[in-house]
Amino acid sequence: MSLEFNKLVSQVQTMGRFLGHRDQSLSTRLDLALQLFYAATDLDAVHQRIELVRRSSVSGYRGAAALDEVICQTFDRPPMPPSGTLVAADGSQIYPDQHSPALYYLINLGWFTCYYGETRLPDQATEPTLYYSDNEILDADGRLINNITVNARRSVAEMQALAKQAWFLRGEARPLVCLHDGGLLKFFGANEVTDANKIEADYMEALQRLQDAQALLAGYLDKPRSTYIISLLHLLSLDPSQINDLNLKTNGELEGLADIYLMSRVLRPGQRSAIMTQNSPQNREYASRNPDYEIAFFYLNVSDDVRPAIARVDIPLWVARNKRAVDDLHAILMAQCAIQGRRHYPYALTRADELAYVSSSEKQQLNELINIEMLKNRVESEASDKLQTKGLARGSRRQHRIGSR
Amino acid sequence: MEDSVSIVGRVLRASTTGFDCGTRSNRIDDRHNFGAFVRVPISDDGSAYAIGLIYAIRIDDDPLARELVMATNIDQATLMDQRDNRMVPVEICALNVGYIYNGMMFHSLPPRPPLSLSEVVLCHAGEVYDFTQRCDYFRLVLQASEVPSDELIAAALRYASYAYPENERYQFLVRCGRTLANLLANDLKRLSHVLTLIRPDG
Repeated sequence: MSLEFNKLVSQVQTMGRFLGHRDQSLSTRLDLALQLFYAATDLDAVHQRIELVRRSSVSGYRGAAALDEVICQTFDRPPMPPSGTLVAADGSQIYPDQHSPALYYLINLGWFTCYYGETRLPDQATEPTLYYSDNEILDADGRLINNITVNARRSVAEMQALAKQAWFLRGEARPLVCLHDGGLLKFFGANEVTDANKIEADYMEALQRLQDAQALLAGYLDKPRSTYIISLLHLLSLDPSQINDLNLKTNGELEGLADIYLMSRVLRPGQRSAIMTQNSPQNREYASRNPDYEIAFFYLNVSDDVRPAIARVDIPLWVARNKRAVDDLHAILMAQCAIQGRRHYPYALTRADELAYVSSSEKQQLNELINIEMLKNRVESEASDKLQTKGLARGSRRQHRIGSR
Repeated sequence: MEDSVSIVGRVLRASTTGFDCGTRSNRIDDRHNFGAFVRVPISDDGSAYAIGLIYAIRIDDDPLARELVMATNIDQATLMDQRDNRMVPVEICALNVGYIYNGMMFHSLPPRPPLSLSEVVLCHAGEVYDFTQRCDYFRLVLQASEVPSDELIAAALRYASYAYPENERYQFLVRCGRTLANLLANDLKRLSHVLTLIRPDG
């Protein structure tokens, strides 16, 4: 049965009205946020307010914490470094499927390296890895691992690939920018992720190796939904006596706003925001392992015209503390985002994604290869009835043609 | 195995009337000219080849290429990446005009098509010279549908003329012109156009 659009049309119209109304209501809140933002010129006062929520019994603050830049400050696009190297890594996966002929999952990594300051062909590579042994696909209770675990393992594998490349490229021109698709602050919850502790340890080890290679690590998030600065503005708007978990549970009058709305009004093309960190137990945990691992962020308007395109860039503190490194990263990201015309997204990440992507037809081919090998080894291979009947019902129809078979 | 210098591409799909071959976009050069004579093996023992004329060269786009076109300027590294790294094949289409069997040349459709991934190579000058001694393949070109047949026959004749010694070139083109005049006697506008295209001093 196909989707019955006639039953959806009125729902889509209602949704349009809802979004329109929400935008109007956000506009008023955004004006308030802008007032609070531009009023936050006293860095000491901001620091004091952050210390208050860190030292008191308040535990619910998940907003931004200022570092050494005034939060309403903006920074123009710096000049490009004369030379440099950029490597971007991305990954994709085939999730384990208990209805497939064999239990396995696949992680395919792709990385793309380009060189600045010289006319040189960029390098590219992929590394697919098949996981099929019991200790790889089953959890401690013998159940098939879930997709969240595969995602976590893929994230770590991406970071390990960046670390490996950073070491491999250590002799190339500096700065050496390592670009990751997504945020750097990862949460590997033990309740959801099998072997969460090991995954976290591997992630931290990859960070260590990246730092050892003196790489400028950055996580790139397009159209971020984070509310770190909005939460900070809400905190600043409260009287010290009002600061408690209940009041910090929401962003009060600013609730519903995301940083991207604010930054769209604040940042001109090419500008970045101040660098801040996120105040969260997770980030504290990173910092407790090594103060250099605490994750900071800034927003960047990667557009080159009047329509803003806001991205969030996560960087570890070893990068954030180095102003020259931040400038180089800022300039290189702007250059990357200018390559694809109307699409303001780093070209290197687009290419890494292209390299890593596993299409459904490739998945099908891999399953056929596995089937053949199973037959060769006299292992009975048969997809579950559920999968096979789904395939029958979803299959495309054929036209009748005279003379065709 | 053919000399890699003369390899035009490898067969993607084929039928007895023609074949399409593919190559990487960075390898496009004067081996891929419209009207060039190419050959491809149709037997494992190298005794038979189909002979074709290149009638179309196609370069497909994709969404990324379309976005890059919209960019104000493309730096050299991106250009190299697109042309050398990305798998954007160039498709070259050839129309079968004859075949070689045990060293003999025939101006008719080959008995079978080439297999996928067979190497397509340029015919060398001697083969072009031998093949164009007769004009029986003209009809195959002029009657081919979905092919710019007038431009193709003209381009093929101009291409073939360079396989002839300079003192034979004029006579070759005149001889071909006479054959075309016979074949297109009932369509003078078309004949006039083709003759203009192959005029020796043109």
